[in-house]
Amino acid sequence: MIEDPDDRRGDDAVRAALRGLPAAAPGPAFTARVLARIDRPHRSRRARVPAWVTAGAAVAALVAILWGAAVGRQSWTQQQRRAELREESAALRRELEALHDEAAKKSPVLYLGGNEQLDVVLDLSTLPIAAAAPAAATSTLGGGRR
Amino acid sequence: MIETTDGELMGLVAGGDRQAFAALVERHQRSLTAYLGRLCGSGDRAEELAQESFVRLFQAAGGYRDQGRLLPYLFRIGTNLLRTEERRKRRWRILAPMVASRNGHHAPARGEAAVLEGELQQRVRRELMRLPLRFRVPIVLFEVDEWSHADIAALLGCRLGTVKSRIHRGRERLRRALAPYWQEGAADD
Repeated sequence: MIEDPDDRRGDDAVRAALRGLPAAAPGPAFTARVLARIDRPHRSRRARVPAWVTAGAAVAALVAILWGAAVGRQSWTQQQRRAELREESAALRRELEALHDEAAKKSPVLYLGGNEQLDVVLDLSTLPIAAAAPAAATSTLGGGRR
Repeated sequence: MIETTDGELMGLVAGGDRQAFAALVERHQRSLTAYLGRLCGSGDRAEELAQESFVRLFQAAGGYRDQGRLLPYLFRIGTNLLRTEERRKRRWRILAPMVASRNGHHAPARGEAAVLEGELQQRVRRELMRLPLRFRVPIVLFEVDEWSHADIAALLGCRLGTVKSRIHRGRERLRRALAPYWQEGAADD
């Protein structure tokens, strides 16, 4: 393989640049701090938990959150549905009561007759009260006294 | 006076000898901190990671088998700690994008020992930090600490070819990222 001279120059420049980076140096009390850390109770126990355990716990937590959200949503939907049914039931009850009231009233309509195509009724409520008179007093048929 | 070897000191540390351990810390703190500093771009973080690496070394002293390679062993502990830390950070970045820095670069905290000096060095460090850790570790070990490919492969637990490929690709990325800067510099001259 023939190496490009430009690449070679570039590699040399990269090497020089990397070597030119200032090196981090340990502080003056480095050794003392390390010795102090050794005496401390072991704090990295958590870090030694295998990655698959952490991943499993994360997945379990996610599933629990999703399940909780689904149950919460279902419960909310059920409550909503119950409220709608209650409202509908109350409306039906009001309607039924109105029908009962209506049925209790004396019908103002007088059925005169008819056939399958036609019902002849007389709505008494539309008649003027003042015009109503005993049948014996006035006759609309011929006008003569019996 | 013949200096006690790392292996001999580790044998003493396994028996609970704190002075032997202190001697090991004194011997390797500089190179470990410098290596971690190049990897993470922060002096404070490097020191914290180096200290934790020594603590882990002390805890593992009982099971240590000397092969005359304590420093690579320490470097591996430090690299693994940094890898764990970066992984945790990445997860956090996914979970809380509001908190994450915009380009994934660790901004030095106030009071943090400033490792960065000069525009070129800042640029080089920034580009180095942008490299994924799997490229950053072999490039730093090879180019700066002058480790052999075989030693890097042993530290990373991967094949020689993988190490060579990662160094090549990492270097190429750095070269490409820094080329405009060098061209600008050359044009200014």
